[in-house]
Amino acid sequence: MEKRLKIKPKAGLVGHALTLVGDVLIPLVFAFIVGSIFSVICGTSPFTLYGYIIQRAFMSTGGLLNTLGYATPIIITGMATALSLRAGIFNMGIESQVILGGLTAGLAGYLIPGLPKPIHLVVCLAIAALCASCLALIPGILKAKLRINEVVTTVMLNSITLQVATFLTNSYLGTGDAYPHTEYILETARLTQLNSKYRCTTAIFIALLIWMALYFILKRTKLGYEIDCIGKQWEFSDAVGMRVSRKIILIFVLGGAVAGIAGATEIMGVNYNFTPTFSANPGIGWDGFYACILSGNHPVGILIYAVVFGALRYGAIAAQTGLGVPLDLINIIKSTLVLFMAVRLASQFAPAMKAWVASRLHKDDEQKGEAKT
Amino acid sequence: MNWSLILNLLNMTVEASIPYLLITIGGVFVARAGVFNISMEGCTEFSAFAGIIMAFISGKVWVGVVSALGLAIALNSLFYLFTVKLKGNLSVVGTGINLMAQCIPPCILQAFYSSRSNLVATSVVDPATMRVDVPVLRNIPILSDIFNRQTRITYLTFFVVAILIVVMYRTKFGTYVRVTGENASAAKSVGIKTDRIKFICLVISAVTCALAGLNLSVEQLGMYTINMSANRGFICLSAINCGRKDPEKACVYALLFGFVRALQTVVNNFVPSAISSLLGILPYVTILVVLVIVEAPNARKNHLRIFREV
Repeated sequence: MEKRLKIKPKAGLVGHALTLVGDVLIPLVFAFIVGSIFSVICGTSPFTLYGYIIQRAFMSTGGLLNTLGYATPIIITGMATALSLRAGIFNMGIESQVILGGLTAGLAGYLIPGLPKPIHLVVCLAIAALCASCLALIPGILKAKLRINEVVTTVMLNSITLQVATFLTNSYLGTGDAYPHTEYILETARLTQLNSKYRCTTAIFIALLIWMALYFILKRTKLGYEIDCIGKQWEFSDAVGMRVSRKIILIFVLGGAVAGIAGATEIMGVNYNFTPTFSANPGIGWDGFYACILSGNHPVGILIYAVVFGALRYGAIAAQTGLGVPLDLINIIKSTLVLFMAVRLASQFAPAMKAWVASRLHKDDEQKGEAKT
Repeated sequence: MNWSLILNLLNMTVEASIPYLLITIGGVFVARAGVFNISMEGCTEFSAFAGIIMAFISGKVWVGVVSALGLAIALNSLFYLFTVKLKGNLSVVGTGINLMAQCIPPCILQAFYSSRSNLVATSVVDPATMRVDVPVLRNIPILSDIFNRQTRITYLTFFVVAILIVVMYRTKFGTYVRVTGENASAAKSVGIKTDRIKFICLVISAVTCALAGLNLSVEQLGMYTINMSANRGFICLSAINCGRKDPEKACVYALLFGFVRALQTVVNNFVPSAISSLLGILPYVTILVVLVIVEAPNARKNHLRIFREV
């Protein structure tokens, strides 16, 4: 017995860090292998493609600003998703809330004239947040009160929202142009650009503010603790007196409000008018969802992945015009990442490896012991 | 509302329900085995794509059919490997596969056919020849209007559904599936190989999803367009939920959703084009409403505050 206690595998910090790095690196390797296969299919050398994306997205001030501009909404939606994912709720409706937030902000931007700029900005953001959280209330109540699976309801609501928004833009709210869009928003509702040539606006500060607020909520408040508890075991949380139903609704509403702001910043900072396709394939909300999954729901990871996804998005758009590579290629890399990130291969096999190493050590020890005696 | 219109509606209902029925009956097995599979959507999309593109390349329909079945089984094996064997999160893996289904077909299409959104293969598969004139049905007045001149998979579906319902409740395998879903560790302790049961269920689901995808792309249209499955996987998931994982009830809900889809198509012809785009939400709204109606009676039961006075 004593012997066995002695040869406990020394996992410690190094081992933990190694498995963590492995968990991140193995999916990356697989994703880039799959991405390379498809880029060869598309007739481009994968090294040219990756080099091009990195060069365009990170190697110049303009590229960096564009990357940050694309990352801004993803930071917000990623945090919105983290709220629900930490509670074990697969809220896939962030996309619909982004669209509704964008639509309402776009409407408030030109329908409310005569306000000073700061007030108008706040009003637009508030309306977007309010409407989006009302939309999020539907799956929230259905989940909390009737236990209807949230994946189904949110996916249905995504389709409904997109179709209604398209219908409204085509008919009542449109301007009658060839492509459906609403009127341009007023000057007072526009977020200031950091540099007029590039995509990044003051929305990045809003995003960082939201990021910090939600980080604080998740890590330091009672609500954050309860969200984690619900994610671990909701029946137990309910039994010890956390009001789980109410918390679930709150999670949906808060996530919806934040997602609405993400859509609003995109309209107020970049597009200046609402088009149903502004949250392009596969969508700001989805990108936030993937960033959240890949980072294991950790806020810092979300920030990193949001910037990476922003770079991929900008790089992909640049590569489409520069190299003629389809945009979908980047989504293939993303989906492979998500798939392989789900299994955490390194953590899976780390115990087995450790046991194997330990058994070898044990054998050595025994042999030594035998030699001594 | 005249008679021929109603017959037309019923005919359309049969046509529109087939994918729903197929995906649902396969999904019921997976759900009963205790696996929450949201990748049926991606599986259907992939098999619709594979059926058309392989038929188009080879010039033979059966190559498309075989490759669609093969791809669907491969996908669900991947799902099995990642979730059951490697213990990945079901929803995350499912989302990954669904996302792949959204981006891999357009990428391949753009690479080889320079059109991202669709592939027309009517030169190889002519949807008109896909319909079968059944000799017996032809002479029965009303039934012939509804059921005759449907596609092969349509008739196959009725057999598949009947057989699978029997399998679920009348065979040893069906019992194993139900036990696995109810209590996996108990099933394991009496010697049932739960992993193998789950795998077989996923293969059944793969085959039915592939048939649904083939019905959509090869049989009904002879072409592939992106997002062809149009959330059918999720709709069937809610049909399974509504039917409480019971194959017969789930199929009834699948028929209901098929009916709504047919209704939408029929009504589309009578309204101005602006409103017809809004009608697209009809199936989704129906599903939400049906879900609420089905689940509402249990609202009080769901309240499990243990320390509260009853």
